[in-house]
Amino acid sequence: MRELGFETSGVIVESAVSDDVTARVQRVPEQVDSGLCAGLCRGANTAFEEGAAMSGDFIEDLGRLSDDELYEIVGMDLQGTGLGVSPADRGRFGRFARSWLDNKSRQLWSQIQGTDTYRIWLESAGRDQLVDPDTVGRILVEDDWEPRASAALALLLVRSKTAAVSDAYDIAVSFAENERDYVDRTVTAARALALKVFYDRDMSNTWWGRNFVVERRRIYGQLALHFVPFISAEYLTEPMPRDDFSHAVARAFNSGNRYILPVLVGDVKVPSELLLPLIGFLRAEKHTPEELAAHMRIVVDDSRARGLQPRDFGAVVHDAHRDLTDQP
Amino acid sequence: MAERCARKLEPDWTQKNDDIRARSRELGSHHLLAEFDAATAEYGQTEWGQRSAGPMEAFVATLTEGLVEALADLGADPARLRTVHVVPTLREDMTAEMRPFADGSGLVVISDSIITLCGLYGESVAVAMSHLSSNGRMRRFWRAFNAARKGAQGIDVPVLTSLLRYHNVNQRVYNLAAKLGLRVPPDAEMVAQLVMLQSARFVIGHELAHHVLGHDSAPSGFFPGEHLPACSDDQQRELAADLLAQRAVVRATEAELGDTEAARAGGLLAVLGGVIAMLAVHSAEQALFVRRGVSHPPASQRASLLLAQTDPRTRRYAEMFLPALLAATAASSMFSEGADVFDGDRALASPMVSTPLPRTSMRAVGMFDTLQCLSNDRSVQFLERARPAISSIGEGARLAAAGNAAAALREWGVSEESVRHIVDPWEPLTFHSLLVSVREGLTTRGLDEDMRLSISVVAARLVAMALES
Repeated sequence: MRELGFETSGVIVESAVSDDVTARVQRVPEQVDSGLCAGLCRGANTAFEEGAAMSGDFIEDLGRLSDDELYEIVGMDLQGTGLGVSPADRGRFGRFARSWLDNKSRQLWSQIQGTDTYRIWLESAGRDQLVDPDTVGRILVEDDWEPRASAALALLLVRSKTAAVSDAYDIAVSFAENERDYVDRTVTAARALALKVFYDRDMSNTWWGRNFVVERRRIYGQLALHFVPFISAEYLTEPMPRDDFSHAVARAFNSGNRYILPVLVGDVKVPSELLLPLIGFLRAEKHTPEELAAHMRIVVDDSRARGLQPRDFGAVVHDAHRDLTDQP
Repeated sequence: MAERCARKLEPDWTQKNDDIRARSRELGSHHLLAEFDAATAEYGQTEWGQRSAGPMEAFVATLTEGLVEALADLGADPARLRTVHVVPTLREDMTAEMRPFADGSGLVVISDSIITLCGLYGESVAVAMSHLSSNGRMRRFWRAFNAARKGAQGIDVPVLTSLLRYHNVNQRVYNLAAKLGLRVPPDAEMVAQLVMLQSARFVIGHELAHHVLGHDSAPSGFFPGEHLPACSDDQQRELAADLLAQRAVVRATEAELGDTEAARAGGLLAVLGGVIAMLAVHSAEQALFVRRGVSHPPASQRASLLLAQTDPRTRRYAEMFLPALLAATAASSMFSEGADVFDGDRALASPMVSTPLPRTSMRAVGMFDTLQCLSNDRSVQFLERARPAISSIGEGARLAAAGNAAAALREWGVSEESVRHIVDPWEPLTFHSLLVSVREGLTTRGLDEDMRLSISVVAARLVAMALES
């Protein structure tokens, strides 16, 4: 491996839904007492499980489809099919669903955000986190949508929210608990350099691992120019599920792009199959948090100058994790 | 089940109104915006406004209530009538259909575009009526004589053709139910609204009639060619639904207006409304489809049957307008060499046409119309020369002109699955669907965006000709 500065490129973005979500996150603790919360949780968990049984598999399968194909599924559910319906003109289903969703999107989000299931999700969500299709799909199933159509609609709704994100993050970080102090100071320094950083005190590696592996939740909506995992021994050797997530991260940055910028912490031994020799990285010990932040600033400026677009790092890592678990 | 589905389909009218405002701002039309806001505020104060934020929803709901009562009066089973739900949708497709569910309930879906088109026909009829009855007895007599001699009883066929053609080109190219406004004189406004009202009643009544008559072994629809296989039984059902709908419309009108002169006029206009509804469907079948399944019998046949059920005086009156309406419908549905293509400049210059659209938009519609009416030879030349660097465009054009639609489509990069559907003689196909497939294929061949739509329109039309032959 060779040690490089951050000459690579990449972006991570802030979620446009953040105003509403953040406001709700802030309000929830004040509005829901613990007893009520526990009751809601029990009810919501049951609904979640039932909904998951019906729609979860579809989310996974349909997630690979294009928007056009998803619209077609939604349109067929809305309009119905019958004797003599022409497959050749199924285009009309897609066209109808597109105009229907254009009109109904705001109303649907309002209904979704008014459900208990959504409120419970919101309590566990990180700041600026965009709700995932699994959760939306379950809510739609509870609202009498057919499971496959609900999955397709949930994916379309979440994708459009993600696409609506216009204010991207520069950097998103992932770390193990041991590195919290270093990461905290780096983020503070980066923000002082006017970088937008996706970081929340609760979003440690455990948080990522839980979301990706335990809850199998794609963390949508966080787009960034660069994803920066702080890879320490703990980051790699913690038992499941964090370990699984970490491997997914490593796999993602081995996939050939410079979107993920690893920072190695301590005397960590990264298995060669996880970190290829040509992957650029920084060593935390050689840089103060302020220096690391300055590096980040340079890389981000360079990436912007090159016109690189922010990416949904949740999707990047999710795909890597799926590939990892699909391996025999 | 139908009710649950209706709830999902129900448009968000607040969003729709916001979209109209945004569009008005985009067009820079403060006048339109102010007019819309004033109309919305006024509507909010009405009885309908208290029911729904959407005038279309309130309109359809009100008409449905009257028709359901009328059908019950005519002997329909009240229990069955309670299981049907009617919902308007914001669809660009011309459609009105009845979807039966396993629990015996039925869902009637009416797109606002079909009501819009009925309105266009209705305005033309109203203007014609106004024209015939104004400015003194001798002049009226002369106009009536002249119009009857031409078989165009007061209806300005070229203007109606132009308006319908504008709608058809937009549907074929953009899948948009766009409409130019017809200036209706104040003395004709009431008649225009009544005709539109009656045609809307007929459209809804026709679908309700399918439910009442138990036509639920297969979905039935006004949307041409989509649901019904070609078979005379289905056509017979359509005719039966027409007759029951007509009776329901007349009964609903009587119930609303009582034994008044207006009610008698309403009954008369109900016949015209029914004919117009049939023409709207006929227009879509003729103009928008490359290959049709059979849904409804031809409009002329349906109209004849309907008129045969009415009293002689009403029939004669309605028959005065029918030839002109059919002529305009036919002329606006022809997309081949020699067609009277839409001329944006001419439309803008017409004192009868009203639109906030800029001249460039109108010309674009005219251009796309012209491109669909080139001869095969000129179409091939156009495609050969448009982007000579992409040889497959010209090669595909020659194949299509030679009648080999499938090979042409493959040459243009259309996927094998799409080709299979497009050339299947048993599957209905709209021009717009064909255009979308061709455009997607040509995109994979590297065709740039500047010329993509124009080239695709010409290419799709060549394929359409090959399929028709």
